[in-house]
Amino acid sequence: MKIPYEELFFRNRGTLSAKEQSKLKKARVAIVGLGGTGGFALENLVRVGVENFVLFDSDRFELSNSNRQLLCSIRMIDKWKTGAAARRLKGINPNVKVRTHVQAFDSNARSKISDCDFVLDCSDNIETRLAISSACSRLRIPFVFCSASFSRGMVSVFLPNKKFGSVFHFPSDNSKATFKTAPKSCSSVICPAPAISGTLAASQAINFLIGKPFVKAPEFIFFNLFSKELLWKKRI
Amino acid sequence: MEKKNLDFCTVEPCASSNAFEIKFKSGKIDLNRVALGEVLAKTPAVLICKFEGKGISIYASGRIMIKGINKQEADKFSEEIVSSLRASGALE
Repeated sequence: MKIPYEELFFRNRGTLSAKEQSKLKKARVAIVGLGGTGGFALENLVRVGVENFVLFDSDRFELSNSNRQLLCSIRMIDKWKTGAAARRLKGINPNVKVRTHVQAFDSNARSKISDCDFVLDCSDNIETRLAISSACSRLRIPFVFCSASFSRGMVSVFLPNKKFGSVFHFPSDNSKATFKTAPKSCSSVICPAPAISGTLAASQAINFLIGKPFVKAPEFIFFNLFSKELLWKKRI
Repeated sequence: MEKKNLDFCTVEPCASSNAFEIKFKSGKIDLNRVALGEVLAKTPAVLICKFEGKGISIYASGRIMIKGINKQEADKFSEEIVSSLRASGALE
C-alpha cells in the first residue's frame, strides 16, 4: 500500500511551497553516524518529507546510549543502528528508500555517497570527520558538521571549497598527526544537546536543499543550554 | 591507554572515561549460560551483573563492557570473565 506523499506532509504546506516540498522529496541525503545527533537529524529529515537516505554506522546500540539517542530503546539494545534507523524511517514514511552501510565512513565509502545531494556529518571522531570532508570535497557535495558534548554544541555547513581541516586549523585533511593532538571526544552529554545539534543540522540541510539561507563555515552556530544566551553565531 | 589484542578478543578503553570493552573477534555469547556474579537484569540482548563489585554489561552479540576500572584491572577482569564464559559454555 502506497501512502500518498501529500497526505503525510499536508501540514508542511504554508511553511514550504510546493516547489520546495518537491525538492525535499527528490533529495538524497547521507547521514554518517546514527547516534545522538544523527538520530535527531534523521527524524527531522524524514518528517519534513525527504524520501531518499544513505546511512552509515558501524555500531550496535548499547545501554549507555539510552540517555540521548532517539533510536535507542531497550528493545533496540545490541541491534545495529543502521537497521533501527531504517525501520524508523519506514515506520514514518513507508515510501522512503534507504541504503544502509554497517561500516565506519572512510575513503572506501566515497563511492557510496556519490549520488547524494547533501551529507550530514553526525559522527563523533576526528578521523571520520576528515574522511567525510575529503570525500565531499572531491565529490563537490556540501555537508553539515554538527557536534554535541556536555550541554553545548556547534553546527555549520561546509561547501565543497571549504575544508574541515583548514577551518579547524589542522595541518592537512589527511594528517594522522592531527588525530593525536585533537581533543578526545568527551563522554558526558545530556539529551537536549544532541537533540538541538542534530535538529539544527537537519534544518541547515533543509535550507540548503530548498535554497534558503544557511550558516557557512567558518561561521558556526553555537549553543549552550546552561547559558542565558542559549544560541549565537560566531566565526572561528 | 592502548588496545590489547588477544587471539580471540580485544580489550580496549571506551570513549567514556573509566570503562573497558571486551570485543570477541568471532562468535556470540549465550546469555542463558552466563554464570558470572550477581545478575541485576537480563533481556534477550543484554545481561547486567555485578562481579567483584564492578558493573558489567554482557551483550549477546559478543561485547562486554566493564565499568569503573583501570587498565591493570581491565586485563585481570577480562581474563577472569573470558575463563568464566568458556567454562560455562556461554561463548558460542
